[in-house]
Amino acid sequence: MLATLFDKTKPGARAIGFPKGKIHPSQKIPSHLLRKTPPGLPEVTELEVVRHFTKLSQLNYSVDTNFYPLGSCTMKYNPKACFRLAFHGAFSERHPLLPAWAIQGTLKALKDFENALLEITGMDALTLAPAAGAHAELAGLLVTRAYFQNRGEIPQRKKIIIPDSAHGTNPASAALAGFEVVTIKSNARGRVNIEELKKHLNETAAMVMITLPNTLGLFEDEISEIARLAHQAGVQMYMDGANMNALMGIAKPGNLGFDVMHLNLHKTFSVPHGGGGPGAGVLLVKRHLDDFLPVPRIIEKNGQLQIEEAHPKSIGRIRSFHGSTANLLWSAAYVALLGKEGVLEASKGAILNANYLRVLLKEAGLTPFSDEPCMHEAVFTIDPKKLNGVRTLDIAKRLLDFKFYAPTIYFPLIVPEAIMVEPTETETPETLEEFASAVKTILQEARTTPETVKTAPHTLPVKRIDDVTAARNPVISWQPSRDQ
Amino acid sequence: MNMTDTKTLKYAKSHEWLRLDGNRGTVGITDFAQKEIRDIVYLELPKVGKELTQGGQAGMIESVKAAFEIYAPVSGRVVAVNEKVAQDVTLVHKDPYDQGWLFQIEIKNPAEANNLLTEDQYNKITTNGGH
Amino acid sequence: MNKEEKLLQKIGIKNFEELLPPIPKELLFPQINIPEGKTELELTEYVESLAAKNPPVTSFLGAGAYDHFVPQTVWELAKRGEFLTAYTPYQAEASQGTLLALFEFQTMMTELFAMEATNASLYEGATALAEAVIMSRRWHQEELGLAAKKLLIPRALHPHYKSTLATYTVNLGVHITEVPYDRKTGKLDLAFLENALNDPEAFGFVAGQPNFFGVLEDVDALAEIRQKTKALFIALVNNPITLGILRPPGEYNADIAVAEGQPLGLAVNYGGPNLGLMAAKNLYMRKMPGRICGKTVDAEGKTSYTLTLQTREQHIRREKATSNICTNQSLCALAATIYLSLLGPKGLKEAAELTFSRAHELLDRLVALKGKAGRPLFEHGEFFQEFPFETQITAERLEVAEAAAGIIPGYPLSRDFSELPNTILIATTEKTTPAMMDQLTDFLQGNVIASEAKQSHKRGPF
Repeated sequence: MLATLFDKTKPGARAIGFPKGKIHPSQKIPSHLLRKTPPGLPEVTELEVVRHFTKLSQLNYSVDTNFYPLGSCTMKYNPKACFRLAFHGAFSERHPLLPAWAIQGTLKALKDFENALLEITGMDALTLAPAAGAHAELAGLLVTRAYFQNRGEIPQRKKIIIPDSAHGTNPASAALAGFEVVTIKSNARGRVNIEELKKHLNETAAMVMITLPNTLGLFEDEISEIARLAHQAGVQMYMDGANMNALMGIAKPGNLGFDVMHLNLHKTFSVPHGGGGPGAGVLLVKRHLDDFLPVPRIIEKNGQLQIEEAHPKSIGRIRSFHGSTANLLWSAAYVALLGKEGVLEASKGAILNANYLRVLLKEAGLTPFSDEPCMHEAVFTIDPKKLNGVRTLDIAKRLLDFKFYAPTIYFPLIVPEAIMVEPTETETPETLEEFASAVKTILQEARTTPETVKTAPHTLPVKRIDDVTAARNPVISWQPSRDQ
Repeated sequence: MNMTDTKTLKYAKSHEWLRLDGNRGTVGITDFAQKEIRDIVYLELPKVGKELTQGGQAGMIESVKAAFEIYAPVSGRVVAVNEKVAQDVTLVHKDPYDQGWLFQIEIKNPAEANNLLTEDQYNKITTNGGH
Repeated sequence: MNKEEKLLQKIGIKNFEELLPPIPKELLFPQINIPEGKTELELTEYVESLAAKNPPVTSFLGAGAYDHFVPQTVWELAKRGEFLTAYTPYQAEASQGTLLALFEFQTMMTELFAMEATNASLYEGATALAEAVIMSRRWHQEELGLAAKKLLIPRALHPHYKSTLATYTVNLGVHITEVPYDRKTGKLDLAFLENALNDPEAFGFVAGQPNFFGVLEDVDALAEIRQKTKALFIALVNNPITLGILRPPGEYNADIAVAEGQPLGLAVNYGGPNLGLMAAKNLYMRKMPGRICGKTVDAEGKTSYTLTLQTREQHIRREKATSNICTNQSLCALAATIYLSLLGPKGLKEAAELTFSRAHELLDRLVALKGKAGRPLFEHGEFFQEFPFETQITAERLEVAEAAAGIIPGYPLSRDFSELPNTILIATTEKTTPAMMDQLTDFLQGNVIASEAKQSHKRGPF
């Protein structure tokens, strides 16, 4: 394993320096406000920094280097052409408090992007402020709460109904927005149990949160009925758009009965995942919720794009400044590249690839959760008893030896030993075939030499990592006394 | 401490055991539960002085990827917490009924213990699929 | 046989439509009225046409986003595909690069803030502050068994942070009270704060260093106030570069420190992505929101890294999680790590000193004009990189002239502080050149406005 830069520190070494200023802090600031001991940052040369981080990068699997079938995360190729907008100096070197006249280019790019998203989703209004999907979700819940507040239905409407297959962010965001969470069990087909749902659709419910397609890669085929029942009870419909990559050009959520939804731009709209972020989220609503959206918003006034900083019914700000603009611009470039035919092609390709891989993996020996066609991803399970005790985790780790990143595992929580695979539209059939063949080999190993699988990975820079020790005795920073 | 005879303990369906000693009760989690949870990494125990109600949350047991609630088998005030097990959570795995005890309560209403299970009754639950 | 036919054959169907759910025909394949897809060449033309509408301006804007110098190496490295296109390091064995970098990032944050516990970053500064407030409240409820509801924040807090805090806490029963600032010095009214904290209803108080006006607070006094209360002290570090020269929060008794990390190697990017920083005393580690990277060993005992303490998080504890956050700003944290590695303690100190010097040189120049440009709002009080300046010319007239002069002299404080008309917050960084200062002093003396006013008189009654 590589040493940290702290291990390489040599006092006095450094890469970047600055000219001396004319006025020194000690002339103006009393000494009790000044730092006595400098922070223990590394002291290394520029070449050491370059080699260190280059070598670190080489320890990662990434979309640019490996197939990354991580279900629910939409690890599609991120076209390099998007750098042309996202990293262009005329956009990146612009301060967020500039007046509108100085930033019309950025505002126009964002407005074009907003219009495209409204077209793709069939919603009426949106905000680009959220920093991530979960952040948009929180904003969506707060907007809904403000809407009910305005109608005098708070605190009566205090429950958010969430299927047990949902992402953990749904209940976590609902709690943070001051709601109570009601979890309802999925039916045997992996869909919302409508009878169960009906029991909770009353004047105490505020919203039903549905992931569409759901986390099993399945479309809620009774979505229209769910929306009808919800609306009848005065309950709002929320769509978690994490899986929008299955729907672009196929159906608009706005036509399916949803009042509120969010998009994760780092999934469907190709913002690179960056090792876990920064993401970017978009919150979209129907007309009746428009007034409650967070500020700021881009509006058109006298033929000029302006920033609206305040709005009487708005929930207010959900962060500083406008949003993760560089990420928004990346997605704006991506949508411009796709265009009107491209959005459907992308989703179509994602569904085709997922079903192709579903068939291949079933042949390879995994058990699909459902034999129905899937949307953009498919969920499988295994029976460790039939595989000499080999578990999903072991298969995931062994896949790394075959130079594939692992699928999402143990999610959704309702499927035991779950393996969730999402190939995206950007992979070739040959890559999917190689992946399926690796899975087949691993299942064979599980039957004949299970230890090989249980102790995987064998060919990576580190062997199986001990998460238990990490959690029992958390060491979360480098300390000279201990680590030197 | 002597080896506990598990037949003398009372059990909750939620996998806690209770040892009665006058109006004082010692609480831990069962051998079945510690095996199911596998690698316990952290215990969140109640503070001394806290009032617990039967079936209410008393603490948390965490593994790497899951968190389980510990429920109070009977109502009462927490009078002692096992500091040793808080420091070394593996004691729950090694010795769930003795060194791995979690906390002690001053029992409010001894009759509540009658709602709990005997070892035989508890074993029946766990052999039928547990959790 | 084309690719689609090959796939369909293997799937065992004839048409793609057979894969689709029962969506009513009239809703299937809707019209999407957006332009045709662009080639990369066409995209470039579109981008350049937009870029032309973002004219370069001379800006003295700060107020929470600072255009500091970013060494070339930072993004040359951070943009590598292996970092850029990886995901959250759930499979730690195939993500050691990202994980080791996050471990280094966390170490640097503990060093900068002089705190023990930190996470792998949050969205940005305002939400980091909101998370710290929620964390303090939980601490009071869960660890101290108290149901206190009152939070004290400075009136001189960034207006966006105030609004974000209100949005986050409005449904959680938190009552926010503003602590005034001293009109002479711009500093927090410590007597007011101390008195307000006598109320056992207070669970936390926030203080900025420097505060929104750029003024340095007396942190020793704040440390003393914390000694006397059960309320947690949340220190908001306005710009982490200041920690190259200023006392860190760990040395003045703060419980939790938060900051906007954008100045550490990120462009201002018209607002983001930014980098929320949080560090705290060790005892709060398990109450922290967000991802945390930990050091461990592999099966052969070799040092390695993994995400840890995950039971705090939403994917496990769902509605009982410490936060709903599901990402960190990993790539931004990486950039900050590279930035701080390149600068080291000496470089960081120099960047801070040069920024400090630029701000004080600029103020000296303005003061030397003996009121012709205006006067500093606070006669006394120390500042780092920005200061409020009451202009000779009204805010409205300045704003009208800005476009013609190609200059933004600062952030108009009257927008959020009605008691401060015609006052702008002027900020510098190490990139503020003497030529830019000339342009500003010229502008504030009205030299540009005099010639522009005639042309634009129809726009306003001045």
